[in-house]
Amino acid sequence: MSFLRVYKKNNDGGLVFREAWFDEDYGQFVVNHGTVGHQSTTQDSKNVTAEAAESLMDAFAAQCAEDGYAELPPGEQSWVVAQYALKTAAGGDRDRYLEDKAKRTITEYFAWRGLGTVEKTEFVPHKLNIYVMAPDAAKAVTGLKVCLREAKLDYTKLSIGVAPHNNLAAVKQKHPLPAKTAFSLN
Amino acid sequence: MTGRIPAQAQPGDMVVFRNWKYDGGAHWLVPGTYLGADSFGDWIFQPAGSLVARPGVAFFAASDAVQFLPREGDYVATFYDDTYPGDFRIYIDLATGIRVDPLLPAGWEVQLTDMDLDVIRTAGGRVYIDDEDEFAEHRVTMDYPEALAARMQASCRSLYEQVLAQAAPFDGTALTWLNKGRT
Repeated sequence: MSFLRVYKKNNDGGLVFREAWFDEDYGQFVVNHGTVGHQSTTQDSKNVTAEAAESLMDAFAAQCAEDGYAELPPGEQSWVVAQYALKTAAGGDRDRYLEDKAKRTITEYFAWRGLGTVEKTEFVPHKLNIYVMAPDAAKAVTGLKVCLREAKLDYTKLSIGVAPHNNLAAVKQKHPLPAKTAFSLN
Repeated sequence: MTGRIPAQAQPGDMVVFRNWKYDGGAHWLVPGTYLGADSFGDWIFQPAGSLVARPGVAFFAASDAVQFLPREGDYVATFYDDTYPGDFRIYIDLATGIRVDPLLPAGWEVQLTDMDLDVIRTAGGRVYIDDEDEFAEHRVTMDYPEALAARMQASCRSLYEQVLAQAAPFDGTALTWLNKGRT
């Protein structure tokens, strides 16, 4: 699922907001790139292919940029890392399935709530790390706990760490608490 | 004067209404800016051009509107004036699970579950309850608890009577806030 959330400062200095997303599972896309101030034609929004969605999202992003909207700068967001303890160093087929399923679960749950985006996943010895970029780290931690537990995705093996965007090394464990050992990404 | 939105909210703060269906599906996402609160609740300005979105559909609001979040009660309402090209002047969505959260980097997020039951007042003054068929269908397919469904129907009937009687805040109060949003 691709997702775009953008902001703009209005004349009074207040923030205004737009959000759009494409749901691959349902082939549904939210987009509109007409002239602001006029109700414009909604694009064909159903049965959209991933490629078509990409170009629609690009067009929407271009329209937003033209209207002065931009994504929240990375520096104002946080890394929230969902980490699974694995039985083997390299991870097996079941762990690859976990990676795919968890990534999809988080992406969908987060997109519809504006909680953040999955940026990458990685296997390091005995661990699977799923990196989420989030505007509100506390909400993202809660969101990860809820969606991964509801999806029955090895919740007892899950840890969650949070780090500033520019300093992953400063990651600190936020779940479970209290942390028994220091949260490590490798 | 405070409503459901915390007292530290300032006029001009971004307020995003994030609507859900009872089965957890995403529904309308409506952005706006905070105007203030009165004895009835909170008022949020939605200027023309706001991107209103839900899965599958999005549009830029064709005209200004003001959204109302009551201090208590199972609903939110949207008010329009004659600049609105459609026929609605008051559109009340019955809702449950209404909650206000802070929204980073700044602003507030109103989360609510839309119960698919609406009270509408048209430009010509006709007042009616809409989507009763959708409510009846979703009551079964989405498994609305019986007590909740009954409460929604009672609230709906009460709101219908209030709008029909043009009782405050359905008495033109909203137009003052709408004009405030434009200044």
